[in-house]
Amino acid sequence: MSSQLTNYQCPACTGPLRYDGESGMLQCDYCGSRYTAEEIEKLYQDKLDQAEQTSVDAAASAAAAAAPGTDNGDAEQAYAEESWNAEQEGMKLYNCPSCGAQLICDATTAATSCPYCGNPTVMPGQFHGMLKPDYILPFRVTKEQAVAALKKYYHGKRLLPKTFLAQNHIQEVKGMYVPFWLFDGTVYADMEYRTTRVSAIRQGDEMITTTDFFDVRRAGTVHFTRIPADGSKKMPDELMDSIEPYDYSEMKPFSTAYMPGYLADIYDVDDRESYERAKVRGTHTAEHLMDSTVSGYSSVSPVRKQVRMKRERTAYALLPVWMLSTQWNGENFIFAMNGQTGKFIGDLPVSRGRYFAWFAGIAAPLAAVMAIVLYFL
Amino acid sequence: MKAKLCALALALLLLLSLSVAAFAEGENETLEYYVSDAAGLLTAQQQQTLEAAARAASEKHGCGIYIITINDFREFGFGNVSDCAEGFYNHYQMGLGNERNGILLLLSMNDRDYALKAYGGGAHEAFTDYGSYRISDSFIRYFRNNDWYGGFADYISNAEDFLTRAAAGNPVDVPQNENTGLSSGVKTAMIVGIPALIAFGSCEGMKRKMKPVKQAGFADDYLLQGGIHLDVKKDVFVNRSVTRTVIRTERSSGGGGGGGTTINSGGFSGHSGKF
Repeated sequence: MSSQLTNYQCPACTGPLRYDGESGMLQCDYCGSRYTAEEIEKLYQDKLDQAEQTSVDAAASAAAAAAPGTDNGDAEQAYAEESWNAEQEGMKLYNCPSCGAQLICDATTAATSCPYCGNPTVMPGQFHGMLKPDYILPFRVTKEQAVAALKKYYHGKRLLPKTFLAQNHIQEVKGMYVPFWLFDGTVYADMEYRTTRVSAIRQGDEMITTTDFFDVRRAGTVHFTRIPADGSKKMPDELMDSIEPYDYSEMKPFSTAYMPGYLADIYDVDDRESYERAKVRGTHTAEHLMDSTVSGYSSVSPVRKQVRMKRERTAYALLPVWMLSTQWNGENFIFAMNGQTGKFIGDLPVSRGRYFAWFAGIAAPLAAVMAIVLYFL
Repeated sequence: MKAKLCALALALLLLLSLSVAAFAEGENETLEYYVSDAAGLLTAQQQQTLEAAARAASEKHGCGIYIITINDFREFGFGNVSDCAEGFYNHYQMGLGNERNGILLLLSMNDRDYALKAYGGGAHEAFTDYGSYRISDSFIRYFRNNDWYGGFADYISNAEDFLTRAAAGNPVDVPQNENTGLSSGVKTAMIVGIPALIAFGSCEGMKRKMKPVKQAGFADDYLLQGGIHLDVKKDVFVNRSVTRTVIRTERSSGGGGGGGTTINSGGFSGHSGKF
């Protein structure tokens, strides 16, 4: 069965609205009207209430009309089976509220745009119950800024193949709300070290070296707030980690009003699985902090450590990411940009020719200088 | 007995005469003995034996081989043991022949200082900077064990040997391959290897910039403000170990790196150090 789609329309001209990261408002590209997320939310809540009332009335009429064994009932069953099969394939069917075209999306897709009419659409049904995020961090960086950042990113990369700049083409630029789990937790660390403090004094023709050995213990707690771990299988973890950190102070209570114009997924990696990654990060930082308090010694060797993290509050948030992909020599290169801070990152190809040219360019003059020093001076 | 008395007389003489004032012109004296033990390190028998050996070697080569021991060079108004040795050498008009060729080993016992000084063209030729250190490295091994007689005997023996080699036109000096300390194979390896390593490190640094995507290992950005509480901070002393290592004498005072003999403005070569 087709699921519900919402296409936020301009109250003034019914044109599609999209969220503009720069102004932080919903904007109509047709008449130029702008609305705050709160205004549109209120408007659509009223519409939703009306629609629900209409739906209840219609259901009552349909129940009265549908007698057992009629053709109408068979047709509905056939349609339901078709929809069920699509869901078995991990897909969902939607009807575009703007042009009526049927959209087939991933089961995790929560916002997209219609490939036929281009209107941004949101699937509010994806955010019911456990799937509803607590927060959303609206985009601040625009698509144009993301594309400009990619071009700037190439500068100063000395090993970038010359042909890459000329031949690579941006395949896709997608603004996405990526599902993230944000974990609060406390790490309890109890660590022991064997340390030495070495001093040396010269007496006559002897060097007297004194080594003092210490048993050192550090124990304490380290509190963390909102360690992020992305909850999407589609998103490479290392790419999402690399665009951190986000400024959570700008996070808003979740609303689909921030989503028109962007893609969005719901999580498909649950909080328990994602927590393992956050735990590793938290415990590593706590260990490092404990280590840093052991100072003033010549050597420090850890001999015992007991570190555990207690999970506390968990929040589910959608965070903004620009995903850009380019293709060169038949290979895809994916870049990510923090949609809030503009931090840009991605792996680039390395030119072997340039690598060896730089190698020779550095090694040859050094070798010449060394030869002169060793043989002639 | 006679030798002992002579030694005591020398000690008294040194104490009385080697004051700063005594270094005025015209107060120079001559020294009858090659071995003068004012610090009392040797028995009379040992002193006699060493005196005989030093005298024989000195007269054979026309270059005096001297030993003087004192308690503290400061008692004679010198700021360091090296100046003290040169002061003694000049004051007592040491050395043989017109050039006053000779080598003096002075021990100052309070701080276990020594100075080994050579004077005169013949002595400089025989006791190169390198050779001078070879001699001191050898006798220091004895002195560290307070084997004074053994150290002095070793010094006289080596000094005579070095004089013999110099007379044969083959003075003890830095071996040719020690001038640079590196064989041609090592040099080639350095010329190829070090630049290659530096270039590799630089290129790998550039390569890392091309591949910056990596999984986060820490959560430093998510520490709660004031969220670090250190409940236990204990540093308990367990035990102490002390090791003593003999260090090689510093060679800065006399050069010694490139062969030949370095002669100071006073006409002396050699060096000083501790034992």
